Amino acid sequence: MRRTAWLLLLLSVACGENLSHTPPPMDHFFFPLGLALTPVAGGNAVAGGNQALLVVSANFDLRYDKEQGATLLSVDPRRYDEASGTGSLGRPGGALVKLGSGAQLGSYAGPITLADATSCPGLAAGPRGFVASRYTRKLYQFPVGADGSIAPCTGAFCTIDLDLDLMDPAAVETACRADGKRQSLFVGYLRSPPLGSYGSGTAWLSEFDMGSLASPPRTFPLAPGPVSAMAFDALTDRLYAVGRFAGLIAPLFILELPPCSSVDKDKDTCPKPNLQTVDLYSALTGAELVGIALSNPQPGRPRRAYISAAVYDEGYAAAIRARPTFDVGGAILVVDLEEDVVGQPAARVRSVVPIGLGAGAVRVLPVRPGLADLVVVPSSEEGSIQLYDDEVGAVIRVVTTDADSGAPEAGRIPSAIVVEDRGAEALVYVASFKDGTLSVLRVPMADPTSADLLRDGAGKPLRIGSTQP
Amino acid sequence: MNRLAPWLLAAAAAVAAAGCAKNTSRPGAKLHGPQGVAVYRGFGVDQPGVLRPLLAVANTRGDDLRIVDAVTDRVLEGPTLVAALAVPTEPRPSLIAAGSLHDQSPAGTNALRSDLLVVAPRGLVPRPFPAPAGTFGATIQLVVTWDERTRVASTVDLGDLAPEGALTSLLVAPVLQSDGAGGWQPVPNQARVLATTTDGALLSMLATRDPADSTNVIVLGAPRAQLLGFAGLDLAVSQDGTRIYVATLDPIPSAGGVLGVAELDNTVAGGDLPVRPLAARLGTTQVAALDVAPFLDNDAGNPELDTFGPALPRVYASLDSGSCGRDRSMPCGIAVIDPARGGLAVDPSGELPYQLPIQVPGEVVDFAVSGPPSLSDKPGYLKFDPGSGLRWTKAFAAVATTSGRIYLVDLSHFSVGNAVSPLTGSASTRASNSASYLPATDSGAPPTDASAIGLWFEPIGSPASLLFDIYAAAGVAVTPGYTNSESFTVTYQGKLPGLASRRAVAHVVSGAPEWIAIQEATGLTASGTSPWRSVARLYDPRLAVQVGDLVEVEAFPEGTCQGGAFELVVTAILPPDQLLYPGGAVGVTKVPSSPAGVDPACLPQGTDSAVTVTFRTPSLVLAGTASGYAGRPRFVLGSPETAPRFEFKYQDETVLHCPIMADDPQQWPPSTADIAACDAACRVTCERLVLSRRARRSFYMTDGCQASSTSSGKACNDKWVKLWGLRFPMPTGPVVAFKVGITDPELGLTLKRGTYLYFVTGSGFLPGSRSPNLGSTVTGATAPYGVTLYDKSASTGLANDGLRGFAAYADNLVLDFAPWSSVVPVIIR
Repeated sequence: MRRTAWLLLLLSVACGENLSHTPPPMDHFFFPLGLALTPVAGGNAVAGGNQALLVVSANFDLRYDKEQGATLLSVDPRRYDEASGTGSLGRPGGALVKLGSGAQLGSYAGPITLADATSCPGLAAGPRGFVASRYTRKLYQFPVGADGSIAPCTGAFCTIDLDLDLMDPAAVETACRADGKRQSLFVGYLRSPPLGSYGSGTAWLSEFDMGSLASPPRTFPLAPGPVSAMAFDALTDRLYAVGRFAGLIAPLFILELPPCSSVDKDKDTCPKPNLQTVDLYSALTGAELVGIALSNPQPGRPRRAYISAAVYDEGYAAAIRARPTFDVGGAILVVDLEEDVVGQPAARVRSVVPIGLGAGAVRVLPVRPGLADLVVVPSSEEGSIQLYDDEVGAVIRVVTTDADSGAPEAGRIPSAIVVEDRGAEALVYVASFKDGTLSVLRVPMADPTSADLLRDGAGKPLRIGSTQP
Repeated sequence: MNRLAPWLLAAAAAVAAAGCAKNTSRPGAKLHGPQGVAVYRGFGVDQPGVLRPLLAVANTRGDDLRIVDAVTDRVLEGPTLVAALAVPTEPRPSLIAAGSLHDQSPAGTNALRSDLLVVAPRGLVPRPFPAPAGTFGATIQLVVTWDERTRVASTVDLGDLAPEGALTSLLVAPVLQSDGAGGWQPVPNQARVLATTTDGALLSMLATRDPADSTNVIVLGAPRAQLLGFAGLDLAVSQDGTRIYVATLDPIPSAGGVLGVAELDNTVAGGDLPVRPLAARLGTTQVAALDVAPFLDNDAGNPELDTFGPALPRVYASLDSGSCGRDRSMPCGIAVIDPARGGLAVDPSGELPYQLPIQVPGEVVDFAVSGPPSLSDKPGYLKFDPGSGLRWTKAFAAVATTSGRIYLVDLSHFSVGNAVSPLTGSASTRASNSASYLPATDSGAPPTDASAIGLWFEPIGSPASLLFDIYAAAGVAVTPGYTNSESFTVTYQGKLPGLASRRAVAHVVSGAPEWIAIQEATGLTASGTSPWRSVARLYDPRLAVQVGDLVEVEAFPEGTCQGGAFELVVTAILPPDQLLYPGGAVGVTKVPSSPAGVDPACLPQGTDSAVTVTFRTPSLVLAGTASGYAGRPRFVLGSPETAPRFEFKYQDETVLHCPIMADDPQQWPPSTADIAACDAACRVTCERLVLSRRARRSFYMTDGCQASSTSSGKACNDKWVKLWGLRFPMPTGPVVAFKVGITDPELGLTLKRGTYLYFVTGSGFLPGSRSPNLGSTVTGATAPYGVTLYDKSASTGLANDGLRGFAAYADNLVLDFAPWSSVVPVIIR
């Protein structure tokens, strides 16, 4: 009996050691949590679309090397064409058409943001992707090839240490001015311990100068409510961020950024961002803000923010003095962003739209001139995807479960999403965190009620990748 | 043959007995994200043949209906008896409606006629065969209520009729015929199912029952569509069934388009229903209709009972929350519409240009209305107690909002029920917690040569006395129904709210700055960007900047103004200039008595400088944490008994016209003509309008305060009537009013900038509500959706059961509540 116990103990230790150094697979996705699209030079006029799809796989179960077990792959997202052999969508066996070898990064990697000449005019180096790892607490930089390819970073500042006092860096967002006076990258942290006079649960941001990554970032506090997502408004040079549970509040942070970088050479003269915090809790009790996206700017239309919220039992939270581990609902808050009469940035909740459990990231579809926006939000717990039409103020389409099998049609635990503008239609790529695949929701912009997943001849949703075991 | 040991037999028998013992626990409802609720008369498998009230719950995340006995709150069991009955429906059922077919049991029979029950999802669902596969559309399902096997009877595919329309509301309305006496009556065995869609259609279907059919089956006819020209959001039917009301945010087609509620004539037999707009000044999102007997006066002998007028048709509609507000022409809340007038009902107090919208915390999600129950301890009246004591009334509403509560509204008394008394007790309308403050000196200690601010108090029959510190609050007059819960400061040379330490631009030509605008340069020049942000609309009367105000310039470009902060005085209010100052600016000049060494000419000449400024009043300013700027009191230095008091009070806003203050903030700047038309006198009127709107009443005070032999009655009368001069019921008065004094000037003291008096006001109003709770802990009170009311007394024959309400909550529960507080709400899970 004693010998058996020792043998078992030895086995478990040995197995653990083997798994911790196992390199991750570079030919499929596993727990995808980050999606982005990058232009491919030349494009493909025949098949449509000129984008490569960047996918961050998180290594969420730490099955692979903890330090480098997550991956960033670039794939051809087009529909599989047997004749030409192109496209990953619906490819037999779930094989991926990769662009470049891909790269590895720290585990628990998440959202990815791209900086290129379009989003960041005057950026010296070519297009780059930035991802934070919650496990290693580093920021990773990946050059993106003209063909959309991703390869391991070999230059300087491929990895940048983040603030070790703060935990779980996740949200990343670029905030660049059109005149090139500021080329900032912001990183938000999901958790924070007490630091100095700031209590635990304070929102912190680290600001990097992408033009000078050698300079250490400037990390500064906001207010209670760790940042879960950000959105930058280039028209007003404001950065919007939403905060997680830190008590019975639902903070929307509005940072008025200065026309300079507070990092590097200007850090002593560049003023700090002016912070305004708007508590949206009174609009929906029990709300924890999750994601944010800004409306397409249109003349004569108010600028809006679409904020996804998980809804918890407020009374229970007050009783246990903590965030309950379960949700009771989800919602989209439609918020008018305006300056009030005294010129302070204000946020006024226009409507609260119920959605499914597990509200996730928010994305706005391409502009419909003269009409309010279409917004897509996944509900991970229910396995559904909601398409909200702000013109009619209602969720007009929900992708839910297969009528026969009961399985979520977009895959289990839909999480990360990214939108491709195809003119007359938009393609929404949805990552299934549990299945390790991607589905594509096609939205005809003139008739969004007919939006549906791209399917094969038998009516089954097409996938990019294969279901992970 | 071996025999089992006796002990083994006994043990086996015991085990068998235990296993076969009756299980006394019942299955729970197992709700999953319930949204819609409706009470209907139908049959349940547990009591076949018994027609009784049942509650249908649209179990949105469960894709089914759950049925609950509306009297006992017990969920109907499924066939297996170990789980609740689940009626599978189309995915995500959310909308649900029930109504009578106005059947009369044929004479001589015992036929029992159930109600009509329909359910539908809000969004689009996959269309059933024979529609093409992969297409989506709206559906409405008819639920079997005429026998005990509750199930979906039929599904109506609306995809062809409304190809792109998702349903937004559902209603069952009567089909009417002339009663031969000039009126209308329901057609027996018929009802109309109505639905609005996101693409502006009103769908209708005729529901019929063959009176000769002993199975009592209800059948839905083919749907038809009427294009309304606007997207309806909610439906309601008038109490007499002759009118259908549609809430919408869109302009209702008519001359110029009308914002409000659309009224449809339900007496039209076939074809489209004629539409008439009812103006509410703003778009609406939810609607209900009821005949309501309005409060007239208190009953001097019975504080629980009042006198009421005859019942009048009223339409209640929640206003577009994005277009209403304190500083706008229409406050937020539930508007009260008089269909006879074609618009907002007349203010029962005679003060406002309309009946005050019913103010509820949060955004309205749903609400239901009802008259008195059929049985009552006081026939024809509804027992209502929001927490402040019993009060009989004639009409009631339950309002679900995003605050998580179900608010109890006394429609006959025009307001949300008050859980506290505004006239007596510690939570009454009041001013308290006052304090007089002196500005600190450089050493941090209070000055020894400074005057303090106090308030005059004039007790009945005694000379006026000037009170300071904690006693000063006695000099503040408040008015129940107007005074809010907030804190006020009366400050000498105080900062104008919102205009303290603001980034600004100072334009300097020669000498001191010529004009100052509160705005920050972005440096952005690309198309679509704005060169300015954080622009304060100094030209807007809401900021209350006046000629003669002071501008402290506190911070300057680096290397300038070594002498430190300096001060300017406002000489003009400049209209907006889209390039220079889109919010307007103030013309300024040097203050004649600037301290030595301070030179306003220190800023770079011929250019604009980024500075930081604070605007101050030259004398007193009143500011509240909720009200904001509330006026400029004046000192009363002598003869306080005859001096007029300062009043932050409502004035008739219909006579106050301000052409430069558009209701919609998007309509900025004002037109050139409007700017030209608004001179100094006009700006004075504009400020009066601003203050008037901020001093509107917040609820109707219908409590009595007549002198009586009781000590509480005498105290009430002494305080509110004799001392503050209010007239009951529905007193009108100021938010706050007082006479300001300072420490005796003959003492040689001076009044220093920043000296202030602080006091706190209490509204005396706590909106009565219901919410799920476990003991004293509120739990599950998050995201209520549908709410409905039903007359329980009609089912039980017990007056004490009265009126009850059901509200569905996102936390997988339905709340059963009553309008009076002695009944503990029941949570159905």
